[in-house]
Amino acid sequence: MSARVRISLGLAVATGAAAALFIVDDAYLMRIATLGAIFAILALGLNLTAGHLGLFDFGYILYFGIGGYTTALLTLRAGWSWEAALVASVLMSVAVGLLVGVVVLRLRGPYFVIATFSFLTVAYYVAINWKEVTNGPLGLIGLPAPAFNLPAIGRVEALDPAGALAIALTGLLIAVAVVWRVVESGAGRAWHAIRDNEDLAASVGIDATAYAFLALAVSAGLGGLGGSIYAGYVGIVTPEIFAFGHMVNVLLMVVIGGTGTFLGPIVGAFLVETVPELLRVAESFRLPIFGLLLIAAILFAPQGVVSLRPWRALRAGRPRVPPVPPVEEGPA
Amino acid sequence: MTDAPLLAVQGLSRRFGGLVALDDLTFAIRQGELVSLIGPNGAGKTTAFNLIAGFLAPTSGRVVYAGRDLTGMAPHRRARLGLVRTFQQAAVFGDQTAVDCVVAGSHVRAEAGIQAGFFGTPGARRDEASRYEAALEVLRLCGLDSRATSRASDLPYGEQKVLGIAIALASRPRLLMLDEPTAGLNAVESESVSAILDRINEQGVTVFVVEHDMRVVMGLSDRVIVLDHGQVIADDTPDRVRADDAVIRAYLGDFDIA
Amino acid sequence: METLVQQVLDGLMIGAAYALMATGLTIIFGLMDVVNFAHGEFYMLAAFLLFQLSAVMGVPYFVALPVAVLSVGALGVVVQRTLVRRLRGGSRLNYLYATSIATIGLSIVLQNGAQLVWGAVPKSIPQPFPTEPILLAGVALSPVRLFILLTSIVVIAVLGIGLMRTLAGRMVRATFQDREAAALIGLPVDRIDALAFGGGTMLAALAGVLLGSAFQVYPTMGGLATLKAFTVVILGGMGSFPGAIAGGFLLGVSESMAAGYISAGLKDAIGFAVVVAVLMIRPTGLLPAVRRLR
Repeated sequence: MSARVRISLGLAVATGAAAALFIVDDAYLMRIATLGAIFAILALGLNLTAGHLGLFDFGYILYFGIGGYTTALLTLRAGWSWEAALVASVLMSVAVGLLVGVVVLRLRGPYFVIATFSFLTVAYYVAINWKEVTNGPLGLIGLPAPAFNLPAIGRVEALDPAGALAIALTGLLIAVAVVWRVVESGAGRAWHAIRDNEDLAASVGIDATAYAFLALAVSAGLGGLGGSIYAGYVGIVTPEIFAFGHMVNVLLMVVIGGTGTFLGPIVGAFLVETVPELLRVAESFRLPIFGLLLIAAILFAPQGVVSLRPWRALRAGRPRVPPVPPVEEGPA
Repeated sequence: MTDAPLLAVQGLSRRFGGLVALDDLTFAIRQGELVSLIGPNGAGKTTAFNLIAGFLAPTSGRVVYAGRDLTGMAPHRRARLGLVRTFQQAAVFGDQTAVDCVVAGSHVRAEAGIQAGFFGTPGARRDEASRYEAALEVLRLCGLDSRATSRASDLPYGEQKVLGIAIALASRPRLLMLDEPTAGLNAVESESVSAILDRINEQGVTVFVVEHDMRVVMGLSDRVIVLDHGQVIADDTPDRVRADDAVIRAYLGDFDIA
Repeated sequence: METLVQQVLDGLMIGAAYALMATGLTIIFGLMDVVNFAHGEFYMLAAFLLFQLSAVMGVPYFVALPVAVLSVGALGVVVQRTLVRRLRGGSRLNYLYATSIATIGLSIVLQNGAQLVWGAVPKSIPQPFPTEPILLAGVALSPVRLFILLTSIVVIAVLGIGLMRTLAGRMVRATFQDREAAALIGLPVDRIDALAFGGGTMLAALAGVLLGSAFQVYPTMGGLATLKAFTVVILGGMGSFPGAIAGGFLLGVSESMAAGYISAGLKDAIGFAVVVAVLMIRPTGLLPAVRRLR
């Protein structure tokens, strides 16, 4: 119930912000918002494993890259439409996620962190060196920009800032819906049980491996969705799509926003996309300041910004909610 | 039906390196019994629990439950068959409210699947509601109903241990195995735990309990199995076990049998 | 044959530095459960300090080198006291995230701070070694590389003996094996943490000044170094010192071989490919620690 309230609150804020963006119609702001929306999809995906299941997938960007490359190859080499390539990208990412899962889901804690990270790094070097397919470091260039005619709205094109934002927000909406329903389906409760005490979860019949695979599959699929939209938006896919920097950013979004919460990753995504932009005035001190802000954030809001007091007060007025941080959504 | 034991442990052994933790352990528990497993520290009680519940693999021997050989079966699948254990340390889903913990415990009782849950079908909602009702009922049975919305890790130790039992009960076990349910509890709390055990046994749940508190053991048990150095040295009614020479020798200096 | 020997020696030199890095990472991880993402930045910072002291301020190389290493070690202690220590409390998972974010933040600060101070252009550390190679049984050995290899081996040996034989070493190992038990018997685990964090960063710093002397020094050099150290740690078996050392040499030599016989571009990928292979066959690494990690 409280999850539903929180979701609708989030949607209201998001709708308001999006409407404001479309009205102001500033290309620069729209670009930041578009990237924010795309990365919010990824943050939602990473949060399924890192926040709900409790396994720190430090190679998550792998699925972003798989989605990007699948889309690029299918549109450029096979002449598929972007929409069809997007569906294929999601499926491909899920498949890769399940394969990776076979190896990494035997591991826990820091082992899991480094193992998933190793997969990401291998993918990065494969993308650089498998030139016949990936065109090496130069990457795949000139993806056709997504464009379609919609009945009521007219033509939506990714080349147009407003069109790109609309596409990214649609993707985010899909991601929110999927995450919301999966977490509410009973899988969320099983994940939380596994996260909080895996042995206890097993002792009452929860199949940790099966639920971990489910989390990994959905999270990989969202990564593929984000990667496909990103590829369509920027029109180029290079090995840098697997870059460590992307991984760090998505992780920051989830942890700074609040692991295991609904709104946290989305709030975190827009924060992490926006703050460095705001810091541009600091010129060359921009990144050091950003680093210090991260340290401050983790010292002062270790549960994420959505756990901070104003939010907590807001929540206190609501019925049937645990008195302490909403690390998980309440009963439906 | 009542002739064949619910749980039959046959020649179970477990070695850790050179250390023999359990040596050719054999015993049986019948449906509806309340059996205690006692023995000095290091006798292998917790190892026996881990082997029966599938958290450790035996070096040799097998566990037969309800006529099925459980060898190699994962813990969660054993739980699905109604063989559920609790843990020595208070084990709860710390970040969740007490009632949510218990609902999580009723995982195997969910009738609607994940797909139904995903689409929020009426069946899934009914299922959810009934699991909540059942969870509150279990909390009431365990005297924790006033704590339903408290966060599990905020509860005092004694209540966390009782919550651990409630979580296990929510899965509606056929055989409930409890690992030292009263360890670390004060006299009043111990009393209420034994009352809970008595009540659930009366409701038809077979109970197998590792226990240190002799008052609890002697007052509750239909039968007591005594373990020493990884072997069964006695398996009889409380009165006869209390008089058994081997048992007295094993315990001498450890603590007195009240 | 000569090139083979040459490549093995090159690999051993780099591998020695990897072993230092990985041992430092292992100490920090093993004691505090911190996956230190700023490890490579300490390595970078030490190299820049050596550059600053010797090239800019004219301090003699053999004086500047220990000063650089000790200063970074001191910084490590400060980081542990002011940052890492405060992140305890809360669940184990939260601690893992908090320390990761904190060390990532620190690495961003250090890397970009170094860029502000020293610029992005790679620097060379002037070093006092003769440039002509020493010929040994037909193999050309550059003196600086020989120095790197020998210093690393000596430090690793001293560290090993110190951990096994001294009281401080035994206290560190006890805390490493079982933190709660160590605290229970009255070991000052908090101070041991500080000592270990300082020691761990000093090992990274040493690797930095050594490799910085043979190659170039630039602000982003720490990123790949951190990754390599992670690889070594997982190769060797997390939490295992012999594993970290063996893994370091193994990675160094296999990279050098891959660069010589397969392709220079694949050099950096080889370690991660080996990791994936090792994980599939032996998820606990080559020489796993006895300690259970969860």
